[in-house]
Order: sequence, then structure tokens, then C-alpha cells
Amino acid sequence: METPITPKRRRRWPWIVLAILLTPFVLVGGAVLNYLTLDHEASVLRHQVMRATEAKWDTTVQFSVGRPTFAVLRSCFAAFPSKDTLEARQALRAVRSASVGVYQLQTDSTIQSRIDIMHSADVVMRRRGWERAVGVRDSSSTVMIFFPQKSATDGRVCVAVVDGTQLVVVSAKFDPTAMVDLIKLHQGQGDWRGMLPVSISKIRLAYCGLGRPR
Amino acid sequence: MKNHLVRSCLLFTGLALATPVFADVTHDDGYVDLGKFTAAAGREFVEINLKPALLKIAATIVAYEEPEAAELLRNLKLVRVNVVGLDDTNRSATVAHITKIRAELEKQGWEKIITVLEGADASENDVAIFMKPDGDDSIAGLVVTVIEKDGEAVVVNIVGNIRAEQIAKLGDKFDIKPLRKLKVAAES
Repeated sequence: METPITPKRRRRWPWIVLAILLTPFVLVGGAVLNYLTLDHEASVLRHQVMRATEAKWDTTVQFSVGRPTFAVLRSCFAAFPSKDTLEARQALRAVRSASVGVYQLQTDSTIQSRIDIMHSADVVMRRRGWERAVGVRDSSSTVMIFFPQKSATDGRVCVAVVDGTQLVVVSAKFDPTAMVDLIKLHQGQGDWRGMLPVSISKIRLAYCGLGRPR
Repeated sequence: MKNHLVRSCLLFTGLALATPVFADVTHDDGYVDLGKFTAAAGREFVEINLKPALLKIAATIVAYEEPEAAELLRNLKLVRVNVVGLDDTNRSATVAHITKIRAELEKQGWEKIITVLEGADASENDVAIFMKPDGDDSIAGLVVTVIEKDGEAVVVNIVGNIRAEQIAKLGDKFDIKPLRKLKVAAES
């Protein structure tokens, strides 16, 4: 009489142990990747600007800092309340997340067209629900500031600056109330011309401190 | 803490409520479709389009120090600015475009409140300001058009509920030179 062959039981525990061992590495890898890449909006804007310039760019620095990191930093600063750190604490309270990329034009490359940068970025960003509130271009620089079409008050902003041979792309989410407090703290009192993005007879872009008075 | 929470709630509620009300400014009496301007390569080109939500944030910023200015900003629905650097490639098209805007405004019942022609042949600087009255002492919109022969063209459309005496303040705060001159003219 033949004994029935029982199927060999697959051992699961080695896989479970392996998964447990690998999980921290995967998480750390994911976090590092998250820190070293741009968020989606900034990435789309960067891609579009780079494409419109028809030039080759090298990454100088690129990082994203999300809500958890800002929360940790806020907690750290909150533990040491002092007058010296007031501005830093206020800034951390104002910013929820930020994604920043700085790129340098390759030495053998030139920007073919500056005129198309704005139009091309507008088209793609509008499709994604963003609207350009500010656009400034002169012979060597282009500045674009986008806000969400539906509600500019949700605190999201996307900025692209092409200045000479450098491209800077920023996407950030901030708390409007805290940002207002920060601006008040930073500007001091009185003159608010510098807070608004335009001064028409002598055009200057002072929004977010990006502009250079002319 | 409680105050802060109340302030935040009020600000957000105010902004959230205000936004949809003013969402479509294009139907407003003071709104003008300025169209598209042609940029010249290597010349300055500025486009600014400030909607109510951003203007309200600006109003919140200045409210403590300058309540009067904050009130003015709160009543604005749109500030659109175009600055176009001129050269041979776009001068005639831009001048024609602005001339067309001016003609349309006059046809639509806008009042021309200022005309300035400077220069030997009266064509170096050409400034015209139009307003759309809204009742006896308030204005629904302002359009400032400037053509500098060898410089740049500037077109500004401000939409909102502006009181006549606030025009000069607008010019002062947004640094719109022709509007600032109104104040000087009124004082002298």
C-alpha cells in the first residue's frame, strides 16, 4: 500500500524575516529618494522650462522637505523658545513643505529661446490647475509665479526663475496666516510697497524676495 | 492661542467666502479684456494678474499698519498689469493694440479722465487714463495706458469698488505714476 505523498510545506518564515530586515532599508531608501527629488508640480514645471529653453542643464542641488520633517524641526525649535530663534520658528510655522531645484546651464549649451518659456509653462500648468499670477522677462532673466486656479488661499505656490545660466524651481506649501505673520515680522512696520509684486513706474519684482529693484 | 485660532478661522472663512463671489471678474463692469501683447526679444515683458484671494492676503498684511489701504485692497477684485518693452519688431503692433483698447473703452462709455502727450511732437509719452463710474462717487474700474515712444508700453486694469478719493492712493501704493499725478493736480 502506497502512502499518499503530502505536498512539501513551503517555509514562509525566512521570507518574513527577510522582509523585516529589508523594510528599514526600503523605508530609508524611499525617504532619501523623496528628499533628493522634486515633488510632482515642481518636476513638471522644471521639465517644461528645460524643454522650452532647448538647452542642456546640470543639477546643482535638488531636494524636497515634507510635512513630517518640518513638524520635527518645529518641535525641536519649540523646545528652545528664545528671542533669537523667533524668526526661524515663525518661518517653520509658515512653511508646510518645500521642494527646491537649482540647475546650471551646461557650458557647451545655450538657451535657444526665452520667449517660449512663459507660454509653454502656462499651457502645462493651466492643465494641472495652476495659473500664473506674475511673469517677468527681460534680456537675461525670466520669473514666473503660479498659484492654484481655484483657490490661491490654500497656500500652494510654484516659482520658476531662469537667471542668466541658472534655473531655480521651487514648489512650496505654506500656511497663509503664519506667512502673513512672518512677512510682518520681516518687513517691520509701515511701507508695504515691497510686499506687493509690482511697482509700475519703476518695475520691480519684490515678491518672495526674488526680484532686484531696478 | 484661542485668539490665534479664531483669527485663523476668520481669515480662512473670509477668504474662502470671498473667492467664489469674485471668481469671475470678467462679467464685472470694470473689467477690460486687454488681450495679448507681443513681446520683443531681449526687452522687458511683465504680466501680473492679481486675483481677489491674493489681494486679500495683501490686505491682511497691511491691515494693522494701514487700515485705510487695507480697505482699498479688500475692495479690489483684479489688478492686471502688462509692461511691454518696445523695439522695431513690436512697436507698431503694440501701439495699434493700445489704440484699439482706448477706442473700445470710449465706445463702451468709459470716461477719459487724463490725457497727457509729452515731447516736442507730442508723441514721446502718451498717457491716457479711463474710468468706469459706478454711481456718483465710486468707480467700478480703471484703465491706465502709457506708450513711451522709445521705452515701454504699460497697460493696467484695476477692477473693484474704488472711491474717487482713493484713486490717488492706489497710484501711490501701487506706484502708478500717472495716478499719483492726480493727487498732485488735485492738491495744487
